[in-house]
Amino acid sequence: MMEEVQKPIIEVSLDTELDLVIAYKKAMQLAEISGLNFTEQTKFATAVSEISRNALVHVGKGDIKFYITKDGQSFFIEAIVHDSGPGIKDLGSLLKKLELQTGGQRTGLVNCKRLSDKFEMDSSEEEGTCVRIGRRLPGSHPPINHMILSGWRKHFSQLAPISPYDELKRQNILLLKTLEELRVKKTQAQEQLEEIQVLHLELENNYHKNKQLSDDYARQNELLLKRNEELDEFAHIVSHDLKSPLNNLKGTLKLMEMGQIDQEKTVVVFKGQLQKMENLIQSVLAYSRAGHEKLEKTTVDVGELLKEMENNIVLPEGFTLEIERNFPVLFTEKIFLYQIFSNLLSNALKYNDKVEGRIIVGYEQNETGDFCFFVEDNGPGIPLKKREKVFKIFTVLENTKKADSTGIGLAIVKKIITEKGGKIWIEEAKAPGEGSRFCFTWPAELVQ
Amino acid sequence: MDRIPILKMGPFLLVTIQVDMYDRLALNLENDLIIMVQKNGSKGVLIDISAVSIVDSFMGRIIGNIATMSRIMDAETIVVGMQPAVAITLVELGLPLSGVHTALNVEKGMALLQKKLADDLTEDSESEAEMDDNDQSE
Repeated sequence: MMEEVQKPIIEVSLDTELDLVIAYKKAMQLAEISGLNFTEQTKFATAVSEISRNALVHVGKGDIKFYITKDGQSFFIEAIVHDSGPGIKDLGSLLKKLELQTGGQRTGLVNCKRLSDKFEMDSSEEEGTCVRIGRRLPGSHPPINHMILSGWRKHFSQLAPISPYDELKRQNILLLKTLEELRVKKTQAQEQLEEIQVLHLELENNYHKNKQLSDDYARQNELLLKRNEELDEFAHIVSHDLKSPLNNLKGTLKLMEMGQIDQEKTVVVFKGQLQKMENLIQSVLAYSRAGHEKLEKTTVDVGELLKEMENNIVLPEGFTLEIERNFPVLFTEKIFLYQIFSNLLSNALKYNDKVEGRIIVGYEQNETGDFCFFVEDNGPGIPLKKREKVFKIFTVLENTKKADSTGIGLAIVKKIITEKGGKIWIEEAKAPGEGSRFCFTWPAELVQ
Repeated sequence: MDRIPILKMGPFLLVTIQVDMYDRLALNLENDLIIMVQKNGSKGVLIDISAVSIVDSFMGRIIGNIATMSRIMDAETIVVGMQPAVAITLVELGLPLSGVHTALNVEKGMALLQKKLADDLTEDSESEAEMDDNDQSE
């Protein structure tokens, strides 16, 4: 019985016939320090050579391990050859057959058995074949204990190589071991790298999301600030404009109290001022709604729309309205376009100071591919400084003040256009003479 | 590939195994020796195994084969310098190296080969003489 599962003192892998030399030489060396005499050493080494060759010949690959074991009172030097071949099917009968064989050519196994004090053999299909041979150490063997055995292990691991092949083999094993370690390290590094990459990606995503959110926030904030400003201005203007009819009413009432004005006139003034206030409030409502309505988009032939409008407009004598050709067909809200064009056209008619008023409606696609419409007139024109101002609510230019100007039309137009993502601006008329050109872009899908 | 040198000494071939024998080396030696015997018409092969520490069944078989083949080629094989431990192991293994002549050392081995050669020569001349005698008597 082996005393315990211990580490082998020497281990030799059997890959080529050169390993047989290493195996028997090591066997010889171990046998020598275990106290076996030269003849015994030779017998043990020969037995080792026989079983090692057996493993190489029949399986082609295996390994041999050397141990010192204790069985009863005796110590044994043992060699265990193991191969991972298909095993021997009927081991018992094979051994019996070999036993009976005498003389002539014997197999390595029988030779081995003859040279050993101990011979055991196990074979299974799963685990291959395992042969254990042992030789009893003489009573005069050197002291043996755990410490000494581990000293032997160390001694053999540091022993000079038996042959260049042995050295090569040793270095090869070392190299393979290092390579395996490296491979494991590489796999670990790869895994870590992948983890880092995933984390990095997550971080990047989060960063993008954050950036988007903060951008959105900034944009909203800006919009809010602008709206606030507009609202302030709007409130100021509305209160100012509503105040004037109120003041008028107050004044008239005072005159009436003082008896300076008769009732009939008072009623007329009151009616007029109340109508003005109502108009004002309605305009304010119209402005605040402008562009917010959810309207259904339809296919709109802009050329057709303009023609329809032309038919409904009563032109003053001497005035001409020219509508260019090649307007696009768009998929958009018809009412909005109608509102815009009708406002611009009525302004062009209303403020025209010429006897032969001329209005042109046209279309061009600008360099960014947007649809850009324009309404041009030969009216008095708008000074460069006031071109922004006219789009503000309740703004009416001094020289064009007319009774029916509320100053709300262009504000509504601008609001509709900006709500839809377009732009409106004023240029000089392209035709010779005075006049202005109102241009606006209108984002929409083209219908082919 | 490694080879064990074979020295030609007159009508004999001399092989001294100074390295660890492995299977291919042994098989090459067997092959080379037979070719040399044939090429030189050698009358004897002397193999010195004094540096060989183990002879297992495979090596034993190779030595036996060399002896048998040489005899067929009309040459004697003498193994010299076998270590006592090897001899004991061979006997325990039941490998008596039959057909192989042995001698203690190279000198004795050479002497044995020369004696065998001389014996052969006298045998040959005797038989020739006998044949002559027979011719004469006829």
